[in-house]
Amino acid sequence: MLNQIRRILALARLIILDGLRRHALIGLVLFAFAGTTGGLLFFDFIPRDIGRASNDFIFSIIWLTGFIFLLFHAVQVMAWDNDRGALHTYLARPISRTEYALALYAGLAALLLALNIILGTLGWAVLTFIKGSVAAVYFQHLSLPFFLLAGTGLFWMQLVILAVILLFSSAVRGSFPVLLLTLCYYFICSGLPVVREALNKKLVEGSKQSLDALLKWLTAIFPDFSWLDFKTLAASSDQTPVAAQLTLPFALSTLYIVIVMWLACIIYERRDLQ
Amino acid sequence: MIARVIILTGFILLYGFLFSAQEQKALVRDVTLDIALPVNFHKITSGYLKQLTAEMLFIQTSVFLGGVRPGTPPESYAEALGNNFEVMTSLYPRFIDPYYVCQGFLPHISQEAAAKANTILETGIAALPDDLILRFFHGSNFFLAMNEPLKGAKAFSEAAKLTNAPPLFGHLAALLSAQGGDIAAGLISLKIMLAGEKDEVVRARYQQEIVIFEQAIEVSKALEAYTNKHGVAPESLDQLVPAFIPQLPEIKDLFTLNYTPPTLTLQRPDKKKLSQQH
Repeated sequence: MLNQIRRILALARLIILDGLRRHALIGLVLFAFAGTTGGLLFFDFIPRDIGRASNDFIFSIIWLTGFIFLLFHAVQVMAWDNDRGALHTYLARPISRTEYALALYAGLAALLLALNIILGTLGWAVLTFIKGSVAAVYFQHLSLPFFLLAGTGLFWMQLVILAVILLFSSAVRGSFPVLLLTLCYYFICSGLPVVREALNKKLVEGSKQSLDALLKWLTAIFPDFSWLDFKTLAASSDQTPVAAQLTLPFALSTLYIVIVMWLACIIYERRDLQ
Repeated sequence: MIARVIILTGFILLYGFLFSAQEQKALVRDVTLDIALPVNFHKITSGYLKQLTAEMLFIQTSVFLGGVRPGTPPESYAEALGNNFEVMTSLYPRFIDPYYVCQGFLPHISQEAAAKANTILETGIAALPDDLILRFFHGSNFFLAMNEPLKGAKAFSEAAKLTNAPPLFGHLAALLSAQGGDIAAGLISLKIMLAGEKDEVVRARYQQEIVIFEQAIEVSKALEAYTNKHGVAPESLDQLVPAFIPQLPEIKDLFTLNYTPPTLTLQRPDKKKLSQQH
């Protein structure tokens, strides 16, 4: 077991170093830097609710950066790219396919965490600066614990998407199909709650139950990411959620990641590499 | 080689000329406000960026309002304005800025626009039920822009129940009830206000208004008796004297007693008209 963990960590380290060497990643960080500091201009367009809007802007930039990372870096690294032959090379070493998949996930998750920490720190600095430069009435609340909670929620969402990318990569060859599938998955996840809300308003009682049940279980497959969206709490006096409201989404999404990863590992083990 | 340079220079000059023409066209073109796509579309496509989408739409709309050419009829953009405010507030109901800008621009355009503004404000009131300013906007639109004093009275009466509500809300509920023809409801509100008021000056004013409301209710009772007897409301209040009421009360200064068969209302005198008369 210890040896397996060592092998996973060693490969994860390679993935991290490979990621850090890429100029595209450095470009992404610079883009995010520019975007985050853009918050200083953005708040100028908001007359009253400056705290709320600036906070949303910062988290949106961090989310967008993470999304670009997932779609254009993680997908490429994970996809079974025959030209690169990376997977074949790794598997020539004494490492199992499951270990390969777990290492890939761990390495990319570590890179994502680093990205979030860098941007989160910069975002916090920008928010503190904005708060100090406007009258208190326009930026009343800024809470570090809720900022960290919002950041953790965002990171967890990214981990779920990363796990799904791993699953798609295990089953589909080529980075472009994986990218398209991931985008479809994301839009279904964000669209399903809207469909449920709209149908709840329109449907008559009789036909409601079966369709409701179907949509409910579809949401189990395509989760509602808004459960992990706590960004509005960081800079507003919105009602604080109770402990169950906080722990349940994290526990649920952690289990989701485990199940998806498990499936991905099973497919990796059985997939023909030729 | 020289020929290529000349051709390239020609292309650059032509591009510059066309660019200037395009810019000139853009300068004289009226600024327009595009109607935002439905809220569900934004919810699906923006996902985590839902709040930012609402804020960007707010900025786009504010920039448009800041750049409208003088003389542009507000009716030309009222529909797009109402739709965009509705989309952004549905996307992000707790974001306060759209309600203020909406109140500043929409209700004054037309009665329909005011009704739309109130629908938008109701989204805000549902999200921020303790916000007194939103309540004030909502209630005042009913009587200032929609000629619906009774709905305004109801809105202010609801708002007056909030713990931090100023006495103004209860007072407005009473005045609007009377203005809409429900003088009895106005009287009840005024008596409640009097019971809770400690300031002697304000109490005196309430008492003065209660006397007027009670006089108006006497007239209202006489009207009811006349209608019951004749099966139809009188054409003027003078027909009530002396069979149904000994004499009509002299109500002036604070209120005027208005009668449009079959409705009796108490209204604040129009200060503008009064000052013009003087």
